[in-house]
Amino acid sequence: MVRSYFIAVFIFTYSALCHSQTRPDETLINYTAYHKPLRIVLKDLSKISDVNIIYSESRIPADSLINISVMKEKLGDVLHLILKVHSLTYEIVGDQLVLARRPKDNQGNSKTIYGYIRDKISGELLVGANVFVTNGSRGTNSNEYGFYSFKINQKLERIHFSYLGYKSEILEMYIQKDTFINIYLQPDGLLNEIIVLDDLLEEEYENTASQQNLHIDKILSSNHLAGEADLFRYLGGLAGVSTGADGIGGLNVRGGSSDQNLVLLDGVPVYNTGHAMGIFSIFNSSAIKSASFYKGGIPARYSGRLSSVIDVHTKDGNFNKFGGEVSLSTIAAKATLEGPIVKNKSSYIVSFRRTFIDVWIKEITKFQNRDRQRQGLANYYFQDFNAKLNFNIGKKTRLLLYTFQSKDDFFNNSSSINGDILQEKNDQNLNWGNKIYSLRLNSQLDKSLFSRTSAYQTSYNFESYRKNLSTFEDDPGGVETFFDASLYETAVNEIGIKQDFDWLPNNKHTLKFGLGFIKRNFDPRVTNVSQDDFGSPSELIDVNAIKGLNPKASVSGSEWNVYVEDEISLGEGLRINGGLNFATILTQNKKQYTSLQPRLALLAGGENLYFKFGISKMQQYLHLLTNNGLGLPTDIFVPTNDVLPPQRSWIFNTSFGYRTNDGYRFGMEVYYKRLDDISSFKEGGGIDINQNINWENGVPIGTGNAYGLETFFEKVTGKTLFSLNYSYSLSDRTFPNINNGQTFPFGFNRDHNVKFSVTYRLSQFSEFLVNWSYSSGNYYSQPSGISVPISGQPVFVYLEKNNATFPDFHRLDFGFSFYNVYKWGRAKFFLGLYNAYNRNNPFYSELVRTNNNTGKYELRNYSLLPLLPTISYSISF
Amino acid sequence: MGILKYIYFFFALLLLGCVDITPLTSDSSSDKMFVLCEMEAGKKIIANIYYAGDVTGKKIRQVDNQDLLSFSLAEGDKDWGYAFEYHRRDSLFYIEPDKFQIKEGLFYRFLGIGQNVKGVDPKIQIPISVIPDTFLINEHKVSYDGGMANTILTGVLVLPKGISKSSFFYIVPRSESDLTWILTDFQNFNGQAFHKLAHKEGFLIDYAMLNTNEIKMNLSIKENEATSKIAFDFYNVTESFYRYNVYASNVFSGGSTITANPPIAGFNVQTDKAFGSFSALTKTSKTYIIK
Repeated sequence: MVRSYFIAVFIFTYSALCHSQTRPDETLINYTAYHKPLRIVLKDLSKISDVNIIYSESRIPADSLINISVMKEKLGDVLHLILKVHSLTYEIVGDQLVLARRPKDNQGNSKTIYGYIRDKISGELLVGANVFVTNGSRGTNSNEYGFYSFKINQKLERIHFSYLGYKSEILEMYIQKDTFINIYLQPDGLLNEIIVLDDLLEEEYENTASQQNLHIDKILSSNHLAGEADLFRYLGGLAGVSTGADGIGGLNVRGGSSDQNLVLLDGVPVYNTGHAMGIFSIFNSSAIKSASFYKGGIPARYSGRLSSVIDVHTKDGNFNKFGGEVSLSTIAAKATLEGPIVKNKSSYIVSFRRTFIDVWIKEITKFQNRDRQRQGLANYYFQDFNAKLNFNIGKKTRLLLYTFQSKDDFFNNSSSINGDILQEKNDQNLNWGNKIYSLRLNSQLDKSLFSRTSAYQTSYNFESYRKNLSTFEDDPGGVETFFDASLYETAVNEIGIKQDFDWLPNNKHTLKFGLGFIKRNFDPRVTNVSQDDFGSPSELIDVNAIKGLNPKASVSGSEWNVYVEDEISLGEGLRINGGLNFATILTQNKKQYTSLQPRLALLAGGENLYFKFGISKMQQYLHLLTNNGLGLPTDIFVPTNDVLPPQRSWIFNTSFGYRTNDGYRFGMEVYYKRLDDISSFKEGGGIDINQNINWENGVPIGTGNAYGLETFFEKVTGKTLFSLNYSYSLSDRTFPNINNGQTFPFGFNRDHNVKFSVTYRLSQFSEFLVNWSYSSGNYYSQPSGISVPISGQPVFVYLEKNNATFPDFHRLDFGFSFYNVYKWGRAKFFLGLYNAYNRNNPFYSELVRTNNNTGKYELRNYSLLPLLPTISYSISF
Repeated sequence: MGILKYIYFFFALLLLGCVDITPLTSDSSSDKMFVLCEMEAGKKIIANIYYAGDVTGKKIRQVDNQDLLSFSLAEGDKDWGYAFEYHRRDSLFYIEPDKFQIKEGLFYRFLGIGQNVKGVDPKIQIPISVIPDTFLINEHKVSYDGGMANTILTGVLVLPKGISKSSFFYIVPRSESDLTWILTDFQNFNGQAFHKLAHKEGFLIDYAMLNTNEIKMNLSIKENEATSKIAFDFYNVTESFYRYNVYASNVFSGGSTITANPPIAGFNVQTDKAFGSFSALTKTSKTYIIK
């Protein structure tokens, strides 16, 4: 047994050493053959590569005719292409290549290799790294915690380990027993933000889901706003994803609304993902390692939202040495520190980001108010904080502690005074934020069984307060005062415990299963008041007085969730991911809802061409009541209860894609989504929400549909990378008491979308990027221009909801990244232009009187971000 | 300090947004009318007609010259109708009941307001009267405060079975001194079936959204002494009545000028000359003793 292990290790080590030298099959060649016999082709290849290719003519179809044309391809890949159709392969013996018959997959004598895949420099675990045999027929990915487990045959096998932005590792091994092997991948070059993939054939392992895996380097080399690279801004550039102008309102995926995206931060749900109305996301790019985005064929382990999953993983911290990053951009400063607590055993990482524009927003608004003979000022800032501790307990267990906190704070107080009399006073205060605390224990129970136990608390709070007080003289010496105010509050607190398992019983099945318990508490409150609610109005009435009028409508509920998911390999290129998610919730009044959510995703394909198909049934146990459609925190989270049923959806998607060997990809996907029991605010003024009334009775419930076609064409290797995608989508909603029961277009849907981006590597230390996006305008309700008397007051008539679109949205951004490398680290300078041709892209409109006292009205469209230089400078060490 | 001001102004220009104007125009050169006609069987038929205002600054005004305009009510598909008479005293158009009465179950059309943009004249059918079966009282409390009696009821109004599912009802609960009970809440129903009105008393029901013939409600009233009776003015109404009054209630409770969620007009009159609502309601009344 010891001798066998030694032999296995010896072969492994020898192979690793071989890999560190240039292998004979890695010689690059240019070759063209048309209708040439195989034996002639083999001779040609041997000659031009100067590598001996050994074979017996009696054991190969020497006269079969070959057509091939390659430029700068590896000899091994060319041989693989030619030989596989004849069930042949080759082995490296010394500096020669020996042809052999491809052995049949011998499942009965397979053994398991397992371990962790890490960054060689920092020790970071790599999520979603690819592990597959040379011909791509079998493979797997490292899980969310960098763990992989893979069964290989008891013969000499070549196993590829690859990850975007890293040099691939290819090991040849012959093992005779289950073997623990940790893999360390070298980052690709010193400047790992510039993605240059010269070796595409080894990179790809297609997923069954309609999914994108996003490495942080991809995000960092995408378009920047105000010098901030942003995950959600990157996602907004993908097919099937739309936003309000400039990201306002969050992400709408395939006709779904922004609350229907399950956003996970290290496995913990996040309720509000936007700073500054969604222009920036709460995700500090310095703290993120990777993200996965699912918009169809959603695996059974995810549940709780209808439209998509955005699974974000943060960095673990450098296990080997102290390091960090400091960055300054046009609007914010951020700093990250990481390092080992005990080298190779424990690590920490801390990231903090805060805007500094509040320094001059105050001064600008003071200046503006003075110009208008008013007093007061406005201010706004946002900040976020991530911190994580990692502890390795033995070789197989890891403990992680994580916290995340975000905050946005806006106020605007202004008043005008005439002599000694207060004429008008307006106060607005908006603040919101998330807090997350989580504890996780990852354990490797067995060579093929991985366990993850987690407990977390996630909370979201927001408060919006507005007060208007105005006075005027009606009689000599008499003063009339008008007062109105509104208070919007939402608070969500969720506590959860989860147990998940990853199990690989054999190479055909990859099983994931688990269960979880969640307790949620919602405290919404909406109060609209006028002087009638207080008797005599007084400027001393403040937010606390309004809070005292009505108690919050506290509602709680609990949820149990169980899932099982199996990815089944049915043969070469054919995989199915099937699963079931079962959830049951108990409302505060003991009403129970259950759901069984089947999921199915199918992938059929070879090296170049693939087809996918997916069906997902999803359920969501909370509603986001959105009043003004702007994605502002004035949108209120409320839970499913006795009156408000769970939201439901079915998602169907099918696609095909083609990848060429020289790095081009194109494809097309069609989808249909059906939404049921979705909610909205009623038309006109919002409802009041508090404990004293059955406010749920005023919430409209309806249905929706979304259809679409997405196409893409991209180049993913070389000095120039580009991506072009076009999508056409339709999405509608129907509510009995909205738009008179008639179906209307979903406001955030944009019928046509074109997104184009190019990244060009100017030199080893610089790159240029340009993005251009075009989409049809968002839908909005345009008034008819006619006013009629309704209950004695003149009202402008809106005949249909969402009967018009804003002007088409388009925007050009470009930028340059420059890098310098020093002994202590590196520096990056980014300079760019956002909205380079200063296009006004409106995000909402309002009907107002004109300023010239003629009694005329006009429709004002508000745009937010004009031409904006973006600058950032960061150092990492 | 002067330079600092310009630096601030520069950043303000960069970061603060822009406003564009979308021009709005009236869609016809002649005055557009607004017509509101709610007909009740056995009563005077009244039409309230205005010239609409618009975004150019034109103000709303009542139609005041009958010589230039004629309106009539036609039965069924007849192409002639009974003419409305204009009354200068209250600027309204009437058809007196001694001249013409509408009948339950029949169709009527409003003529003289132009061709409907959908190619059909607005046509409504007078609803058949519906009398509730009974009112079951589950809870009854009386409290006294400052000399006033506050009566609270929780009860179930039971409707007869067999009513068409595409019915709409308007209900006004009254006391014996003709004050209106305040509907404080509905119970245990899909809220979309009910609409508490903000611009007038009472509430509306979309019967198609109700999966039962029992309407559970909480009511309260303050009077000088404890109330011993409750009377329901129960109207079977056309869909156009329901849609217009839901719209008016939404407008009254604070219609928004932000175009994301404005109240959408529940008009069944949309012609080249007019907007408005042409509707009908049939009333029954039943009184229940509160024990």
